Amino acid sequence: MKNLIKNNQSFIQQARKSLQAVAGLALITIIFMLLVPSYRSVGNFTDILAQSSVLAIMALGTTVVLISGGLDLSVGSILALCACMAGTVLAAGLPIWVAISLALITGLAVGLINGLTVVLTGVPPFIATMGMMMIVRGFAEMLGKGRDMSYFPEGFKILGAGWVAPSIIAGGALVIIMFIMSKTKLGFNAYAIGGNSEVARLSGIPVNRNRIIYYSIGGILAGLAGVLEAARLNYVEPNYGLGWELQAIAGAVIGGTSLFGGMGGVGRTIIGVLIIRSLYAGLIQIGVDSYWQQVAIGTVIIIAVWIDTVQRKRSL
Amino acid sequence: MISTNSEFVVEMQGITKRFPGVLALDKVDFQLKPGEVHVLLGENGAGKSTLIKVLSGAHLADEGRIQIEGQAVDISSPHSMLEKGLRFIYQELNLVQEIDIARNMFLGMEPIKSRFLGIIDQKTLYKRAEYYLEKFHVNLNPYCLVGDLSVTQQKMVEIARALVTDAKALILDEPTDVLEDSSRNELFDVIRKLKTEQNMGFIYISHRYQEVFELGDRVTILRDGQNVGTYLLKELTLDDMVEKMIGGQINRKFPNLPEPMKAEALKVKNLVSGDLLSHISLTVRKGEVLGITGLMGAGKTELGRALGGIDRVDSGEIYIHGHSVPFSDPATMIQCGIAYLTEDRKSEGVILDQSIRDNYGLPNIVRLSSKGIVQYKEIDREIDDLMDKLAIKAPGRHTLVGQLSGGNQQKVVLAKWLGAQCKILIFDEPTRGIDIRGRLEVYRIMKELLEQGVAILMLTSDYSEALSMSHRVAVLHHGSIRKIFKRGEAMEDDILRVAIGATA
Repeated sequence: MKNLIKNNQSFIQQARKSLQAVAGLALITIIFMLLVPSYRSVGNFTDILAQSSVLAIMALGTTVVLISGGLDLSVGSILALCACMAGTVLAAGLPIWVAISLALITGLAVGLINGLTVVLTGVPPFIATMGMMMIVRGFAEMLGKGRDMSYFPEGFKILGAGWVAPSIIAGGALVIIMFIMSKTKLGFNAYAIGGNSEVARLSGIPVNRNRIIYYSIGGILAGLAGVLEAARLNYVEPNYGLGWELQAIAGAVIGGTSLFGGMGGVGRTIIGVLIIRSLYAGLIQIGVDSYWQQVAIGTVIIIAVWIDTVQRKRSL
Repeated sequence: MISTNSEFVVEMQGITKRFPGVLALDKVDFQLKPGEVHVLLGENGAGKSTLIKVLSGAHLADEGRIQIEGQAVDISSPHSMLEKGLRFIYQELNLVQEIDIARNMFLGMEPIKSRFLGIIDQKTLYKRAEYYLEKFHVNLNPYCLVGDLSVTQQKMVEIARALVTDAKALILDEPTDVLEDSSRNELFDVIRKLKTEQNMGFIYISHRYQEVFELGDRVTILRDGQNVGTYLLKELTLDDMVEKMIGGQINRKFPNLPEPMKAEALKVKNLVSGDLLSHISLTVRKGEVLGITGLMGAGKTELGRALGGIDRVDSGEIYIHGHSVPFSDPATMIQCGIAYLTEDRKSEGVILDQSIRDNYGLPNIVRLSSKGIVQYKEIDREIDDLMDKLAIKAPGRHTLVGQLSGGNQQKVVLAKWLGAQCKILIFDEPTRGIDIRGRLEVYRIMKELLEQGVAILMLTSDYSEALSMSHRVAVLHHGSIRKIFKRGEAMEDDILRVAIGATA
């Protein structure tokens, strides 16, 4: 029996981390339920789900990139550009599937460029994707400037209507990414490259090619998030997703993904995102003003990572 | 200060240290006299490092007393160890590469001109640095950047730095593991002079048994956390020592090698790579070990990396089982059956904070996936099998590689490549940093591989390893093969002469 436990050390560690994240979420939920009557309503929870879904989709991509030892700061801008792309195409009266495809292709393309830049130039991911963050935001503004992008057709709006459709889309994305990370070669290689890219390279893993794929996944998921955001709000502005890249990183990190690569999980990122969104919702309902919301969220991020750091030291 | 006339600089009595589930030190006594080099020996896990860490204050002992020059030290307040004049020099270099020798020597205790503004008194700094370098027989210019120095010179600077403040004893943890033979003597000279001139005590930890005899006065041998005994080195033979360390369980140091097969596994013709490798030609048969040795910088690692497809080469041909193959990237070479087992295991060989299973998967993931889906069950079956065959000591396949001993980490590296069906293995320093039991294990496995027809190219700077574990030994000098000895044809001094370019 003892042997069995030892044998599954890393599995148990992972399970414990997931459990901790879930416990954190439960704790926050219970506290707010006790404090604010409105938090106890079903509507509140469905709202949180609806609001979380867009960020969650983006954070899935961020998590993949982080696990592989990369960093992507451009996803917030990609979200905006892809939303503008979808909005423009719809405003031009073209079919919905064209709008969605073009938006996703745009996201994929930017992600691909991110990957190529990081791999080919050797510019650190932080700088490469920060540059891309500005460039893409610029394009989003060019595309969206002075253009009325609202009142989309029903067939498009339904994607973001209520909480069911966004949750299903986010859930679908989660299942696919989870499958990739836990069952496929691509996922295995992400952990290996993030763990030690030199060891991975010397073991014959095509490190650069894989890296480009991870950034592309991040890009296409940010594109999907952009489409969903446009459908949900039924209008598009080029300032969508400002600062979301950091919230996506926060979600991943609160969920226990390492900023240095090699460790983490996409499932837990969803919990991380839910924690952030629940905090926002609860604080708003208590009547805390928006400045203090920022203070609270920032504190939670630091404490979450601190707990993780302490545990990691102890396990060594 | 009350002067004491204690016989010992350091006296440790009944030191006991427990870790969860392990008794790391069991009532260990240890004494260091002034003016002696006291060697601390034992296999990995015998308790050497733990004892030193207790002395340095990094670990708190559960029981026991420590006296420095006859004065009891409060073992629960570790900082006093440094104040009492103990200095520690660890295996890895701890210098700031980007600044010069003098600044490194006085790092954190620079002479100050103005305390308020924190302005450093440059003149005094360099003058004092010069004074100490000379006093400790380190012949270096204090203005030199540390990054420009050789590893040996950096080690000397570390020693000088340790001695700038009033030191009574110096503790050296495997200082020569990173040094090449010729420069080891420089270091030993400095230690000998300090010993006699300053009457300083040295605690010396090393895996290299020859140098222990060269340098040491007394030796304390630890086994399984217990002090086996303290002996005068001149009254001890190498065989005695090894027996005491391992408890008389191992009779022969190296295995006999099986006869190589006829078929040629690897043939290299006229390999050239810049100034590093010039016109290297060699062949290795199936079931044969070709040892490659030479001084540090002679091109051993460069040769291994070139054959592993890691570094680009200028020209040359390579034949694997008779077929010509282009020099290419690691992935291609692995497919051709060549694996390079790096000398730098921890940063190039394994991912320390991932599991044995995941490390095993690295080169095998392609083979063990179908349509992009990983067959984890298959991986688990294979690694369990190999852990069994190679006797990898770990609780299970999910144990993190970083938690294993050096020998077991090396076995994980081996498992990786055996899984990948590589028939030509390039071992670069296969037993560096591995204790004697682990070494014998590695040798045993190598021998088994030979019987299965694996060809081994062994790059090693340990001449006795090269002689005893190879069918033939090639000696490199400045990037070219100077001579190839057959088994039994050469002694260590023959190799050394060729390696330093004295004979051809």
